[in-house]
Amino acid sequence: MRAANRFFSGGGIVGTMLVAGVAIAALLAPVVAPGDPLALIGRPLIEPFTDWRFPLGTDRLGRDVLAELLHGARATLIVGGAAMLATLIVGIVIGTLAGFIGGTVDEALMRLADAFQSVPTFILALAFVSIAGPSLTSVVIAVSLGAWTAPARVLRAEILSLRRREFVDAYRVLGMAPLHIAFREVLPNALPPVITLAAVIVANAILVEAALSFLGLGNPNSVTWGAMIAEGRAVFRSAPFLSAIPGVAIVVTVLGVNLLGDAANDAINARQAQV
Amino acid sequence: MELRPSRRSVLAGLLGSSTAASLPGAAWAQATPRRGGSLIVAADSEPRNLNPAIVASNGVFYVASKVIEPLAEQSYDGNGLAPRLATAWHGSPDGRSVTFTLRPGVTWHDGRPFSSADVAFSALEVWKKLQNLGRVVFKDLEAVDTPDATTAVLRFAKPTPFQLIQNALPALTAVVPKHVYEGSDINANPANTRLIGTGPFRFVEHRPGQFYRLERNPNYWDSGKPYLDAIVYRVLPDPGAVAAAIEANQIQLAAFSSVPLADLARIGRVPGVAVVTKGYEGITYQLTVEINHRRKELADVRVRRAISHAIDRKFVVDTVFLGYAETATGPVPKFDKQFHTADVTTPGFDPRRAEALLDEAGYRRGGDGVRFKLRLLPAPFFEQTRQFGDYLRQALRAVGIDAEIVRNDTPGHLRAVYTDHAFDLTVGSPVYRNDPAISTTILYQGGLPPGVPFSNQYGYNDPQMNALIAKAAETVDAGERSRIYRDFQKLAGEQQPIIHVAEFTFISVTRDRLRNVANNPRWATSNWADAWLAS
Amino acid sequence: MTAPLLTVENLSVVFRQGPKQVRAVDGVSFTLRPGGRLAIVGESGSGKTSVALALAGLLPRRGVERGGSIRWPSLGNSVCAGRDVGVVFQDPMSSLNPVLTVGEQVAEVAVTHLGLSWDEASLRAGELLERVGLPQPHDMADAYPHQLSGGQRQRVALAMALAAGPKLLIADEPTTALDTLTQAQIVKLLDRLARDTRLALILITHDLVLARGMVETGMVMNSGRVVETEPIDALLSSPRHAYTRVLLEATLDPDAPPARKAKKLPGPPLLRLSGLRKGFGRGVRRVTAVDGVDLTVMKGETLGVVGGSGSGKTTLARLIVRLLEPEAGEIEFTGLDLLAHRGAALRQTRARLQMVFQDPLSALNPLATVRRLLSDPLRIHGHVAPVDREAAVIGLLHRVGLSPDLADRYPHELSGGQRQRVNIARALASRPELLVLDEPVSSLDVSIRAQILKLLDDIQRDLGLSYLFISHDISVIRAVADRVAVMDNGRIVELGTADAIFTRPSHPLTRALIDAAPRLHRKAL
Repeated sequence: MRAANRFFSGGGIVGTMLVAGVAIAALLAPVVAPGDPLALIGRPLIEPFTDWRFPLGTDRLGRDVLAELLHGARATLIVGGAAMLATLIVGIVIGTLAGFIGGTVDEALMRLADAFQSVPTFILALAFVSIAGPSLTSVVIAVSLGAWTAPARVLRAEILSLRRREFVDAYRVLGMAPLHIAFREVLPNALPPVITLAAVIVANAILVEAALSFLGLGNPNSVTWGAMIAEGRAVFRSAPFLSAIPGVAIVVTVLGVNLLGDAANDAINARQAQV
Repeated sequence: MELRPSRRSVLAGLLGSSTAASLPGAAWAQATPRRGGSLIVAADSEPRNLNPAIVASNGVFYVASKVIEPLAEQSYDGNGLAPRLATAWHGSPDGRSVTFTLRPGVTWHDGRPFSSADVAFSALEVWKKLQNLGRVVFKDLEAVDTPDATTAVLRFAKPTPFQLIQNALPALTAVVPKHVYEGSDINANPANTRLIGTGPFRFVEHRPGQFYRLERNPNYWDSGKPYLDAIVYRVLPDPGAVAAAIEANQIQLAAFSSVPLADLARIGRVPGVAVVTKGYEGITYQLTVEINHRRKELADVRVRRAISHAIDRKFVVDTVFLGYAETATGPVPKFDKQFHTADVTTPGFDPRRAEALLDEAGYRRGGDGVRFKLRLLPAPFFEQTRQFGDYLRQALRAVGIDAEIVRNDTPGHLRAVYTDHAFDLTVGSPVYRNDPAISTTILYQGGLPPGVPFSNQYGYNDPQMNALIAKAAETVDAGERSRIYRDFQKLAGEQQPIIHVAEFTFISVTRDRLRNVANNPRWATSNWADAWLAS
Repeated sequence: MTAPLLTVENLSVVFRQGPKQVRAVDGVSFTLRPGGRLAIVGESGSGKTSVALALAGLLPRRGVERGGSIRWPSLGNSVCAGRDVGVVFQDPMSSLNPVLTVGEQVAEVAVTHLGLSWDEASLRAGELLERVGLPQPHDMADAYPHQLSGGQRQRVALAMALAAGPKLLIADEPTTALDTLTQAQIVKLLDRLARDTRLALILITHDLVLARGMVETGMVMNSGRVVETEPIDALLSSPRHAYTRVLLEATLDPDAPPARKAKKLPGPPLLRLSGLRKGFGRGVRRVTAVDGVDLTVMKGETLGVVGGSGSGKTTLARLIVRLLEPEAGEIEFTGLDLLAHRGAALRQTRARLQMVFQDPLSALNPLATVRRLLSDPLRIHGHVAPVDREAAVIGLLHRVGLSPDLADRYPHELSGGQRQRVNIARALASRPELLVLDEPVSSLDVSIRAQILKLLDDIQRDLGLSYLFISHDISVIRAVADRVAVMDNGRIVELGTADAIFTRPSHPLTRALIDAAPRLHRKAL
């Protein structure tokens, strides 16, 4: 109740609206702009708001910018969501094992995390995609490669402190299997800070995907906002809207996700204060 | 108060627009050249090996052609060639020898005299053995006789068309000093990075990541030239930076389309800046769809012609190239009057005919509207090859072919196409170098070993085509040879083993104080002895 | 007649959180003369700590409304916490700065409030540390808080509270976190300091007995209101209010005869420990927590284990339930070698050997409902068919005196006593034969403590369980144990029937523990 109040405060409402807007755009893409968004259906380089058939204009090859933007929202949300899931799953499993088992396992897993963290996230993603080839899956894996260490570390720290709580001993005395204790009983208690990290991961995934697409390492067969910016860059001086429109879309989405994450964080903190 | 614009400003406006509309540099040639001044130009790459006798590529020529000269240069006038180190050349009727008369009184930048021994050494040891293009053209070169210091006679084991040798002179015959290279590992010789030549400019300095600097050769054989004191190549890999630098008058030339096409219309309106579309005809690029004939669908000529019908070449020229290109009909560009023929049956834009052909070939649309699927690999060489890939995917989809784009970096692309043959269609951009035998017929000739980049790795092996190419290679008579190449174009138009979409060259953006711009068909890669800067 | 030091009139404190508000203090009034001593006695939630915070000016600024007045007639009305009012809290570790030496921390107070130079302040810090009875105060001044024991830390906190020469010391549960012996020392120290410096003292405590002998007046609080305010002796001897009587009755008398007479129990022992040893750390830092312990627990008996903090009691408990692996020794349970058990066999044995933990909240998974907490052992040990689990859960709740309505509550929605009942119910769920109870009542309020002890007694009687009951509080042990083991430094220093231990203690530690226990009545010497 109070947590919910905390969530729906200023930033939370704006964040929810922004993300919901993007989600609705993604959902409505096939309705509003049916067919292939990459189809060359208009005169090239129509300015926005000058032709009602192409409200946001057309790009250099005569593709409908609105259709690209809406379908791009899908790709963006899919990449963000999938990368978050992959990152959290890997991070949670590794963090929980490291925190709960401790000792050599912890040491080994954390050195592994160090190794991944010592390479800048984007370089890691760049290297992976250029080896594995651009596709949705490889972009998702590439983002996760650099991102899993954050939830793993946060989770490990949480688990380490929770591990000392007596309820863990109580479960052991009851004869509960250690992995069951770790994942079913302790893990849920450690999740709240990781959930707030999820927003950061989504935002970061969207940005990395955009950057990869911008560098031509996105999936060339689907529209993404990063690829739209890259495409528009060549005519930036004469048709800046081609880069600006997807750029604003990225800013809005990342801002929305971050606001949502902050609001979730506040709500979780409020809830924990209650507990 | 008089609000009418003054006559002077109208005139200036007219002049401005006429420069933007790319008058040839010859228009300024009448003015009296001014000596002195340093020309600063943009360079977007820094080749490690600058020796044009080994690496015949535009990036190398751009710098090296001012230092090391070929036997002759391309020209808009006369028979298409202007003398450089050779003053005259003629071939024997049997095609077994070509005799060059060399320019007397020429000295190397280190002061040693230039002689026929240098030509003999360059031809036998460098062009024939090491040069990427020379290995094909000079493969039958047997010996070079040097009866005196100003005569060199190239002798061939098999008849080699004199026409081909002539056409190869500008790009393939850079002469390097024998006394510097003899007895050394030519590929590793330090002179490959600190060039020593006979050209109008001496190589002074290369600071990696910053600049190359060339200075006037005071002992140049063409007395009074060059006009410029120095040429500085500023390394500017970012196209945006190049445009800004030329607008700010920090550089006077951006060659090789280093200003993006989309920016040309805007930058052409900047006072003092001119957009020049001439001066690259000798290095025409061709936008092509290369086809893997190992795919059974694509082995069918009807399918290939259908694909050709699906492509709107006019649209490609207007949107992808923003008008800075021409539609293509076949493997020889329109500029090359010597060989080009318009009398071909290359399929034009006709999607309905394309669909009919595909139906006829037995590939009907399935329930999802798709006839069959293909992998499409656009070459990463130019922005236009990538963009055309996007266009082609849509054009093919319109006729029921689902092409999935696979993107690679340059090494990955070369490996996939020319070694692994892991493609169905690829967008290519081969260079036409003045004669079909230099780098064009190799794309059509069957039975080549795998792994050779920019050769026929397409699985195309047609006896009729092979016969034409072989016959042209040994035909010495120029007229007959040209006729064979016209047949070659007709056959290529009919069979469409490679689909030619557009011909494009580069665009230069210059400050208009740079004069004698684009006054030959290889201007950016010629010696610039007559270029000068107005004050 | 001198002016009173402090006059509190109609004080109220209301905490607001969103739409919810909690009236923690409701119309509290009292006066304190200079050098006067008052105990505010109450259980958790009585509002006693809120009163203390209000007096010290330490209530949070946000979300709190304070009503009524607090006046300091003899001090002028500009009172500064730290200078005029010193405060000592329950947990000394959290009130000390871990990165400063204790000398620096004490000196800092003097620098801040008295305007002394650092040199003068350091000198004063040395005196203060000596006055609070730290051994070798000048060496101690260079120590960091983590290097000190709990009692020593509380002495440092006291030195800090006194550093600026306050007129009033507020001590909020100053001894609750300490073991019996240390508790007695701190009580003595407070008493002496207050007497020496004519310091007024407000003692906040849940323990009526502790207040006796330290204060003149006792003020009993319940639910934010004052129940009664009386001279302390009158309060203890003839309480007028029913609530005060409840508190008094729940208080354990260390001088009462032991509750149980040793029974003669037949058969082999249920649990037999021999030569049990466990240490932590290596080299010079090694501490042997349990050092060669031999014990037996017979069927149906309660073995009390008593000792100061650090005596190894908890380690012993954890060794028995196999949360720790011993370095040496044997554990024999129902004739089986417990240490040889692994995997499934260990799980089976665990059903018969359960533990109840010290902190009832920490021992319950915050995200599990009571129903889930009680179903877990049923599911793990599989002795109750899934269809019967709900009934079994209800049965367990009844067994520990909880309403079945609580089954869907989360731990944070329960009171302290309810939580400990849930812990006991969970331990009972697997039908154990032995319960290891590690300080099961030490974190509970007195009235609740009595109820839980009664519950444990009933359960033992009904189910014939054996208890190994660990406590630092000799009074609790006296109330529950058939036999008593006294632990010190990891060893059993005295072992005997409750009767023998309490009437004829032979080891000095045993005697000290018995003497240190707070008493309702002055002990007849």
